[in-house]
Amino acid sequence: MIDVILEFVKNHYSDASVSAVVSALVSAGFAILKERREGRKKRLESIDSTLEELSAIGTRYWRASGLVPEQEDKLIHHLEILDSRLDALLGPKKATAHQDGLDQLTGWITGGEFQTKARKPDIQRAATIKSEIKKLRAGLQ
Amino acid sequence: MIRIDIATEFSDTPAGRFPDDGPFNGEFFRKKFLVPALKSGDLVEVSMDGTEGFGSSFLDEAFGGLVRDEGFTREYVEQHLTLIANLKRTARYKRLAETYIRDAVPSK
Repeated sequence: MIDVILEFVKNHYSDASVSAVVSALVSAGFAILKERREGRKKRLESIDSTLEELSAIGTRYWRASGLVPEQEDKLIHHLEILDSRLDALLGPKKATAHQDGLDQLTGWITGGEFQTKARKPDIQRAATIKSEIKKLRAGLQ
Repeated sequence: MIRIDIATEFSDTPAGRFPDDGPFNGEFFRKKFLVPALKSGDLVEVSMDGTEGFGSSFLDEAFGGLVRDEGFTREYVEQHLTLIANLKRTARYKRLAETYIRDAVPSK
């Protein structure tokens, strides 16, 4: 099939016009690739900033005790933002590994004695949150 | 079929595990809504859409607590309780609640 097309082009168009069309197509291809790469870079950056905030608030929260509604709301909200940003980056068929990673992170951040009066500082949990976020980050690079 | 809409019938800001943690905690939701509905033997459908979000602690207490503290078997809960998440953002909470039911170990 491609032979037929090339033969047709050779017989009906000058070399100059063919090379102009090819060059335009190549440029357009590069522009699309560049745009995609930049779009992905921006999406990765926004995920990174959400993860950074989650790490900061999450570790601060689990180093303290009791109810802190403002931080609790922020953590729930940031996990939702992270979920939708991962979707935007990976598409609706999100890789299972990332979904599992996000579920685990949600469990570490908002599980246990989260939103309870009896909550005590949990340094181990704070450290795990940090390392789970690091793992998630590394998996996205 | 018994339908329960968490956001409109319970609260759009569910939070905490126990009554001490606030008025719309997981234990209260479980005892007030889920346990009577499941005890009736009917199928129960719980809509999770429309809230401000859930902490895992609430989900674990409300749903995992059915198996852990209320004497229901995991199989019974899975056969009678359906969680509904029509919104994309709610799907994660449904998944987590189902995990807490599946992983719960009876305490008595």
